Amino acid sequence: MIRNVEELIRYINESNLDDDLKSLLNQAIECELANLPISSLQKILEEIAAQGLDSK
Amino acid sequence: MKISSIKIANFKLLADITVEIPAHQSGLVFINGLNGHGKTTLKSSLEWCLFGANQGNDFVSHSTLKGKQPGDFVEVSVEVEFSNSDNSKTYVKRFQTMNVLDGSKSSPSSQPSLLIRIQPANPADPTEILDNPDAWLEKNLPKRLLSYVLFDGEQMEKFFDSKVKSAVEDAVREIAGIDLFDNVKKKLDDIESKTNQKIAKLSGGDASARLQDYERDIRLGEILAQDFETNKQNLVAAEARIKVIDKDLAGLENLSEVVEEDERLNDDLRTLATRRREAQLEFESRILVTGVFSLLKPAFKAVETQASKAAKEGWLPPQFTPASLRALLDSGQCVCGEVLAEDSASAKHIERVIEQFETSSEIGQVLQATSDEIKLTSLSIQGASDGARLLNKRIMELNTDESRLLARREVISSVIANNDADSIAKLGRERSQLQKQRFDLLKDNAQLERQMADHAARIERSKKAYEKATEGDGEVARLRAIASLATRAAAAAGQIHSLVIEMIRKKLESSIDQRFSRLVKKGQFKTEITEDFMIRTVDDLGNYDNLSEGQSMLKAFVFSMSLRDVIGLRLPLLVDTPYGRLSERHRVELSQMLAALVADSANYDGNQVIFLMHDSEYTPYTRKHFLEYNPLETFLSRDDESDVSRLGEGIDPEWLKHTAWKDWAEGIIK
Repeated sequence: MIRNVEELIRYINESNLDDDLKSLLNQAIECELANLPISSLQKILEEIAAQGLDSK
Repeated sequence: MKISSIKIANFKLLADITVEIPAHQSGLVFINGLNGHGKTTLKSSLEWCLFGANQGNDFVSHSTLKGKQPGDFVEVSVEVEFSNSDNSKTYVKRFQTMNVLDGSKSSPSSQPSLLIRIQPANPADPTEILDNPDAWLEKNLPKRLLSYVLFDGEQMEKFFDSKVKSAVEDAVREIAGIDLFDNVKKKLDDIESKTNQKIAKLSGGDASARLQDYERDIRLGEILAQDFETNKQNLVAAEARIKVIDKDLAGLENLSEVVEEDERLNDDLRTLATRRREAQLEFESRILVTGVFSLLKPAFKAVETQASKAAKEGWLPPQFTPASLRALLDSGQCVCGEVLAEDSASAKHIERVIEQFETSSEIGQVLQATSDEIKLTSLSIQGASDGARLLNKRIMELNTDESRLLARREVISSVIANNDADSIAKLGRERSQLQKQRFDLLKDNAQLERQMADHAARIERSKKAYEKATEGDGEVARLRAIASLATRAAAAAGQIHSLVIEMIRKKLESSIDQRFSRLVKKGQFKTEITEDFMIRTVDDLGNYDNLSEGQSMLKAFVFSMSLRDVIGLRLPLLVDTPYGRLSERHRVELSQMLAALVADSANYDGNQVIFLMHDSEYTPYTRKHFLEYNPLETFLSRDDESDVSRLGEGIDPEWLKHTAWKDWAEGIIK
């Protein structure tokens, strides 16, 4: 189990990744910490992807 | 998080032990005892309780079994009470029911159970019993950190060997949350793959075939990347090993020349011995000759005197032989040209000489011959004597040469003996092989890099072909957006994971340096955690540094404490036989350093060190280094009759009857 979640999250947020990726990874880690099933991650992906399509 | 109490029931030697650690003495605790009195059992009981370490099927105290009948049940339990910084308490209890087989054997009748309850700081609040105690343990005392919570001092000398690098890697990866990132990446890859399959199905045509091409190229790309990574790690390992060998061979580069000189010297000494032997024989021969001559010299003198007298008295034969004189008479002419007429005065004189010769004594002839021979022999003996003098001088020179060569060979032999020539030669060969391997790896790396670049272009082409085959709006476009996002997110997760591992490595390096420099080598010490998790100590010039045994063991302690800093948790450190196999001199050194470590740790609220020491470790001399930290001193003693260990406070009274503790008890040692 991860020791320093906050630090990892900070690391993701301070990286030069696109905002949609930062958001996705943050939520993916939260899902993992909460032992949520893969469908939760799928749903998050679909939402973020849809936002991307809308913005185009 | 400090241990404030340990209760053990029916666990091996420890049938009924309770260690109570008062808050004011909780920073440093000693649980001492002779070998076989239960120290290591206490450590095992904590490994079982806190980490679920397997203890086999029969670990009930024999003393407990003695009074039981087959079919009876016994509960083995270990409960650890932690005091938390918010004044709450956590109780971790593992217990297992065992079936008694006979008076000395048992077997489990159930799986071990784990119970964790948390008592809030306010005693009025209800105690919480955790639904998922294993998750709590995995979060707070992960198994991969077991090596950093419960140390075995006898293993610490090897702590930084390559053998333990997997433990270091475990720790770094644990902190970096590799499971978390791995799981996220795997799930994203899975979503991407399934989404692409949906897209291909919806698109029809050759979309499925293009997807297969694309996925195959991605897999090939991953294999290439793995090969490249493995190659890189092998290169790092080879370079690290070359550096270590360079360090080991430093100052010994000329050893092969020394060995060659040694061989040359041996040849020279053999040649010199042959020459001296020949000179010696010749000298002895000449000395024999001159010696015999000196013995015969009086006799030779007498012969010469007699020869001289014979010459004066006319005993010696004339210059011309009778035959030659007779020939002159017969020819009628002398060699000077005078005519030798018969009855002439000259002819008559010659007749007289012939007559005189015939009447000369044989002794005269012998004397003459002997005298001549003696003159020749004297000359020869003079030569022999001169030669003997020269030979003697040569032998002395050869002796001097030999002494010089022997002295040089002694120096060289010492160099060779002290450096284990065989091992050095072996290291030299290993270095040559590694250098060749390094060259090949560099070549492979360059080739793999080219292949990876080419393959990346290929993946891009097959991706475009797949995208072209699946062009479309509506659902396909939506799915493609999802797949694309999953691809990017999976790659980002991988990148961040690598960066986090790098960050953890750097943090650990920095923390170890700070602590170790404070304790031991001020400003001279640098730690390097390599990409494959080897831990190195390097000096100012970047060369690998050799630590003393005590320093190396302390570094293992420091690593454990630094890990706590980086993790941000305050786990107790419990060390069985902390001095391991250190010599007495190094124990004093380590005691001083450990005391400094304890003092240093005191700056970090919640740190706790528990030492399990035997009688040769915990002595009045080592104890004095720790007294100012107000340690709790306890001891385990074993009653042979009941086969049960008990816990006492202070120093074991049995210890006070012997060794240094007797002098300490009598006030001789302060």
